[in-house]
Amino acid sequence: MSISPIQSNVPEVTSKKKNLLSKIISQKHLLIMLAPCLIWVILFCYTPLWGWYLAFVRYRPGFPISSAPWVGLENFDRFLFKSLDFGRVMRNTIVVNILTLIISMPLEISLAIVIYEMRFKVYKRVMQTISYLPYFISWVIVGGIFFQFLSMQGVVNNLLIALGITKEPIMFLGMPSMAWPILIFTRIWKNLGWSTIVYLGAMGGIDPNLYEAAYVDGAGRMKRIWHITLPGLAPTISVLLILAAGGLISGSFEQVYVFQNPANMEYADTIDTMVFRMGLQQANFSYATAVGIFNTFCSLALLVFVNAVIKRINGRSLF
Amino acid sequence: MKIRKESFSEILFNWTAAFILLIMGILMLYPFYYLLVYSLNEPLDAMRGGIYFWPRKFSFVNYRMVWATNNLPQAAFISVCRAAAGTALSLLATSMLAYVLSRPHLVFRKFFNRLFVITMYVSGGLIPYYLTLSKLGFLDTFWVYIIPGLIGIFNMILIRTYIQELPSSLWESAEVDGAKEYTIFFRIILPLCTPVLAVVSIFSAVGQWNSWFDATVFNRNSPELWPLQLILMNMLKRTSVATSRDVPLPKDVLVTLTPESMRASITMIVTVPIILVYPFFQRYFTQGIMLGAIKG
Repeated sequence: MSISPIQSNVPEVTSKKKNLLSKIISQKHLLIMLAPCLIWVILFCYTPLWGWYLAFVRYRPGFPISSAPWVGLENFDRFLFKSLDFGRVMRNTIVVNILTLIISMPLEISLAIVIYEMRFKVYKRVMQTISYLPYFISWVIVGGIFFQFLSMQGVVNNLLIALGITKEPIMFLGMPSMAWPILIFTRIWKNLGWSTIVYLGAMGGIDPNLYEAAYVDGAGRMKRIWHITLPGLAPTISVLLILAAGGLISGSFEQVYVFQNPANMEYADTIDTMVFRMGLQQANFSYATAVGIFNTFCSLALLVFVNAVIKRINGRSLF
Repeated sequence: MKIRKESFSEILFNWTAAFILLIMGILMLYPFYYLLVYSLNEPLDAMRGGIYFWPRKFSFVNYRMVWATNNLPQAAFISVCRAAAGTALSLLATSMLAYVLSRPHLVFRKFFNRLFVITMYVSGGLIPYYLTLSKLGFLDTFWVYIIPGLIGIFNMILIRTYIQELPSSLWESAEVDGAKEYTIFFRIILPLCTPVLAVVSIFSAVGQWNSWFDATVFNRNSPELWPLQLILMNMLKRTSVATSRDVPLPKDVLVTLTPESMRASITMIVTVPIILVYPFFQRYFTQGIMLGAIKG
């Protein structure tokens, strides 16, 4: 009696197996197309993961990895508790990210509203195109431009002297106290135009009947912006804010690397730039790997958290 | 009376908005123009300052010098090659993957999708990546610019979403005709994906043109493989730029060069290609970010 269910299961399993096999054969062309991509992802995305091993040993370049002594969490311990690096790079990353967000968001929203309300169509399109331009150039070029602007004989210093604000030219790029303002300003300059696109998209989704009704009721342009456009943007703003929270500790490596120099290092050093310097310039592979792993997991945790928050609010997750 | 008043405030609003946009436009565009003017001025004269709108002593000497030294023609060649080859190959690989993963009946479809998407969030980090590429023999080769970044996962998702929205009758009729998957992909689906492929290729070409980090990390010892951006980067990182003492000057050049002028002209050389192609591609940008937003 108890044998029969097993017996009846056997043919089912084999038919499932057969099914799968015949499915694979019938899809051989698709799978041939997939094969090179699989090799690629294994080689370049999954193979590097073995390198996490380095974080738990004391590895010196030139010696075989297998001979490196196991040190457990010593490298993490050094980064988090024994050196001043952790506090410094975290402070720089978080402060610059938060200040950039606080300053740039109102600017982006205002610019998006101005663009949206612009009635001279051709002029609007030209200006919009110009505003996206900085987004498409590299941080290196932005560096080239701002080095020129902020140099001792640059436009900014000339202007400050002409206005009598300062007598001696200011060495902006070599001043520790100017590191944060420069990072914040350049990031806003580069991304301002581009980030309006999201808001413009959201404004396109606002019901035009609302504007008409307000117009009939005698509301002027400013009133319509205040009572219809801004509330209409609220969901977008909240999603962007939450997303920004997810990126709180991710630095912008290229930007920081361009603007950092020995003079302002104290305030212009972030996790990414430190990993680069420690690992590749000073060949401190184990320590740099540990810092990299720490960063990956912190970012991942933030992302998961943010995703959960959005799921709670919107009822659907982002990822 | 009422209509008049409203139309006056309307006019005021319009002109204020136009003025704000003008200021924004100047802030975005003037830095490029300033660099252009500065780089076209005679270098020592430019040091005196006061050049804002027009070169005082017009001269091409900066460009001639920069082009003749720093190995610039070679670097420009590398930059163009990596932008062209990188974009073409990446487009092919990324769209092929997107096609395969979009097919609803693919075996282990969910698993394969996860396998690729996870890599957007988890990576080995810089040092393990470097060691892996070194083991695979990619250090000091041109291919390190192309192969390790061949597939853009985010782009793959964009293309995959686009393909999934195509009507399924396309496949049905093709299969009735006995077409194989390659034929369906290359002959039917790929041509229909032109809008999304245009967006993806612009972003990947701009990305290739703009990158220098891979060169400085993986091709540190092969200056002949350095792209333009890295030459500029190195110039920014040096406190004093190569002057007439370290580099052989063309015979007819009898001026002193300044680091500022050299930097300005090389920045212009790197920027101009982007600015030139920019207006033509501009209309695809909004489309692109909208595609991204839909996926959001």
